[in-house]
Amino acid sequence: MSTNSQGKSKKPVSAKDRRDKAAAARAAQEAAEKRRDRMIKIVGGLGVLVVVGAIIGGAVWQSRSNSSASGSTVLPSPNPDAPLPKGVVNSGENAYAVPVGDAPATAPLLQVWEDYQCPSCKSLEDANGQGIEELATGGKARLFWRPTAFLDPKLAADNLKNKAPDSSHRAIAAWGCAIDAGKAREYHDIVYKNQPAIEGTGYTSATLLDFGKQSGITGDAYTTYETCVNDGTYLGWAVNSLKAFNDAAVPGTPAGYLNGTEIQSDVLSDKAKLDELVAGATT
Amino acid sequence: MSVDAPAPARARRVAGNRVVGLVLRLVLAGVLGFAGLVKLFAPGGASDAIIAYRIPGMNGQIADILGWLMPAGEVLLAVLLLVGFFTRWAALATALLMACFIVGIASVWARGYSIDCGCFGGGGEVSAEGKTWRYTSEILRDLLFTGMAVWLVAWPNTLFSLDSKPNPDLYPEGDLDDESLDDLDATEAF
Repeated sequence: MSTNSQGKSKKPVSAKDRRDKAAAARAAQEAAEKRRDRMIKIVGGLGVLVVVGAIIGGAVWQSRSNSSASGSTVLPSPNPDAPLPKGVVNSGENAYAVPVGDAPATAPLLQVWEDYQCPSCKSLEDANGQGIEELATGGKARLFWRPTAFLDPKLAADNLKNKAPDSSHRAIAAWGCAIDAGKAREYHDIVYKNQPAIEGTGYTSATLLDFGKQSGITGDAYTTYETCVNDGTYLGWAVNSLKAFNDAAVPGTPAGYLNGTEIQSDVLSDKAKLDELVAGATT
Repeated sequence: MSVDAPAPARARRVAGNRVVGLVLRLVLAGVLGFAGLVKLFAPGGASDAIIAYRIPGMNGQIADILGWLMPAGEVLLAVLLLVGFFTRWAALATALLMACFIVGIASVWARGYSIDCGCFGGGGEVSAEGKTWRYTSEILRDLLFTGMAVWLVAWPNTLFSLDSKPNPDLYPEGDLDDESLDDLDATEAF
């Protein structure tokens, strides 16, 4: 083999030639490797971007189509001028909240965030709902119920299946009608007493009308309640209250605040502990 | 990894690391990919789960953005680890992310809250029952993932990855020697 190559080139291969050739070969190989590396980087980078982009695009598309699917009640956009039930205001630390009882202004402020579809809220109501209301009616705390409907998007599919879309929003809106009829506490307690065992079942319009009856709304007042519920008069209020919930970054429901400080959940659901906490609080 | 180690032993050890590295990459990619996808396809992303951690200064808008960004990041890291692309950096980011999760869980635990970590979707308030074991196991699990990621930071050269050369076993370390040069001559001659 070497005779063959020598015969062609005539010149004997010197050590320097061999080294130069080796260097050239090495350089060529390095360059090829570099090219290949760059190619892998570009193709791989593009591939990763395409895959991740497609996944994120799919998620966005899905969330879009979800929110349009749940829109059979067509909720209004947040609007501070939307009608409010009696006694509810649209600004300040208790914006869109439902006042309970008539504790003096010197009593500590107790706020409780709840979603009518939330099972833990029912647990709280079963455990200490009465105790919380007694703090208000006994004048020991200025109680404000703060409604939220954050579960609606999560339960959209189940709600829709049961012909009860946006159940949290609609249950709040109907509550507004009951508040106008002077049955704020009654309606609140009736809803939790009748909360479906399976989360997501929701409340049909017939159920919400029945809650009004069970709350003791009768005669002309019931006719007004019925119209109010069917018209969705207070859906805007529910939307506004949910926005307040989101803006305040409330960590889920139920959530209790005493003078603006979060109450530990084991205290909120325990009458003795909550009474003690409230008694020790100053305005 | 001493250079003085006999070549076959070194090759074996490196090869062993590369297989272990591949397994770690796939496990982490699976965990991150699953966690990211579940959150990404949940209504509202992970926003509510993030709020439950009561991070000081958190508000609804920041949580909304983070609630999409974090799972998107998890999916990106999962894909990078899956194909072995920028393995070391992806592993470093994974280790830091896991460390954040550990700090977050330890922090809500220490502050006395009882939440679902929302690690694989869900999140929010849960009953305090079994809280100690829940938090402990979550932290231990995330510590394990952190350790796996740290391994990949230390030994990012893994089997079947876009990072490594096509077949490193065919490209031994060191320059071409005269012998291979003769082969080169021979091929050129024909």
